[in-house]
Amino acid sequence: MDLLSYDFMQRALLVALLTGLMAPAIGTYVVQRRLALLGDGLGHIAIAGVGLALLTQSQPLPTAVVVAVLGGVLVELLRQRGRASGDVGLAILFYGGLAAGVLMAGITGAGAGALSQYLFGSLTSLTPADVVVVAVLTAVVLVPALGLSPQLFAVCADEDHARVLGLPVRTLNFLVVVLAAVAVTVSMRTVGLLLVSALMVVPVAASQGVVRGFRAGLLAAMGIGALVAVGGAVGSFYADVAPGALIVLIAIAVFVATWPLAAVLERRRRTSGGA
Amino acid sequence: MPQNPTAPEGAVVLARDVHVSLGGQPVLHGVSLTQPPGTVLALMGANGSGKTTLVRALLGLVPLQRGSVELFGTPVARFRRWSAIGYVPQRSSLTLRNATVGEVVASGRLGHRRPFLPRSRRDKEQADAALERVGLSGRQRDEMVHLSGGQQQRVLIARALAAEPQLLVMDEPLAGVDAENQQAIAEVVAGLVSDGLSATVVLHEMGPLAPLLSRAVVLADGRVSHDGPVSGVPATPGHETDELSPPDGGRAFLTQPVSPDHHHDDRGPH
Repeated sequence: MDLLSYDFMQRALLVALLTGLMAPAIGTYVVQRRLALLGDGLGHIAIAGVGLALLTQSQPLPTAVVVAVLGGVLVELLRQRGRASGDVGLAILFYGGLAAGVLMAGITGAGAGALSQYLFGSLTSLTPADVVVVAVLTAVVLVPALGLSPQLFAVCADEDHARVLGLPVRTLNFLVVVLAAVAVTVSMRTVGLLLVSALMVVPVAASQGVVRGFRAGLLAAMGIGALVAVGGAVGSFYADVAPGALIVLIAIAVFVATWPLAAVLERRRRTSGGA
Repeated sequence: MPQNPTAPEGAVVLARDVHVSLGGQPVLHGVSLTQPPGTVLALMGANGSGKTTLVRALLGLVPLQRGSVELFGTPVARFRRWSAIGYVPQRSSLTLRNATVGEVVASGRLGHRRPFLPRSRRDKEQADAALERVGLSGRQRDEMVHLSGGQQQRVLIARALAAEPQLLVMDEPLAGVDAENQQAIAEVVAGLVSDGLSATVVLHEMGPLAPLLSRAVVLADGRVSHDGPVSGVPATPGHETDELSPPDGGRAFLTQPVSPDHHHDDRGPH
């Protein structure tokens, strides 16, 4: 393939592959906890991190990771304190993050234009150092997301039962949010912060119709995520469109394509499973 | 009214003067109870009487405003031997989408497992044995969403048994369960009790569990209104309607968002 002869394209495809694997891995737990829009909120907070990096002329990715993780911890604290205050608190936090990011980017004189590569993704401008950071952070997310999957499953499925099992439920809840914050920020160069939540949620939704079981669903979602991310990156190279938008639309197309398959499988299971 | 029972040696559950408020609303006003080992204690009362809150307080899931709870002689805040307790919460508190029966039952072993390590042979054996005990052998690969309400309840009991507990704590195990499955659950519990297990059961109606119950504590408005033999339990209003039985046989809760308030006796958020 001639597109692999370009160094920038090799980096783009590698990062697309890594984020495609990582985002649905943590997205599985986020969806199970019914926090499908959490990724969106964390993306908004990460924008403040990008703005801060532009303002202080530091590296956007590490700065945004730190800001998003701090935001994620705050979100979880609000959630644990109770829903009523949490709902409004979350909204303020999310829009505050977006506004602060745009404001800080504006102060630097770069304006919102400088933010756009983070808002919509820009795979082709990755440096080798970016790739290293993405690879390390992918490992940081995937090792606990896969290694602690029984524990995280138990907490996301039934928090009270997990507590009576003696699991460190609070810590595991924070872990999910922190890993989601890392995944969101790492994905900002691939799909962009505005669309990152789609890569966390849509492959999970697509896999749940066609595979049986939680762990199989987790692995299938990672496979679908990797496929659509790499497919979208390749497609964006040839079609010369924004990779983020194409990746998300391919993911949604896969989700829609699984419907008839899911319906057939469902009917077969119901008739063969019985009671 | 026995509000301050003396602690017998080796009580599995001991509550003294327990006061709990949820969302600023007082729910329990000085509940005391004690359960000797090897007994089956029913916690009963009308909707909103605080029985689910009481069982959650006994397990340390809601903070006590006043009073104390001991499990196996250890204050609940310092209790660490959680594998001695098998908890079967109300089915409505679950958010399982496509988890399999095997995955759900395996999660009952997590108190015995170390992080990042695969299941041991004993973990697998105990999970299989627990599933066999509730009569669902060979159903490991079935998805929870495809089981009836009664079968789901049996899976949750198997999950609790996989931990090899000494005390089974069940919250409304018969709610939304058809008569056949109620009978099956009663037989499982009878077998466990004859093996020496203790059980604390929140019940709306005694149903087929009645012959197994050693004692009943009845709550009314967050206070103990009866503590003694089952035969002395007064008839409480509100038994004929069961708000926990979904009309579709229990499938809806797996696909629709369930308010987390639902399992707090409708007393508001915790």
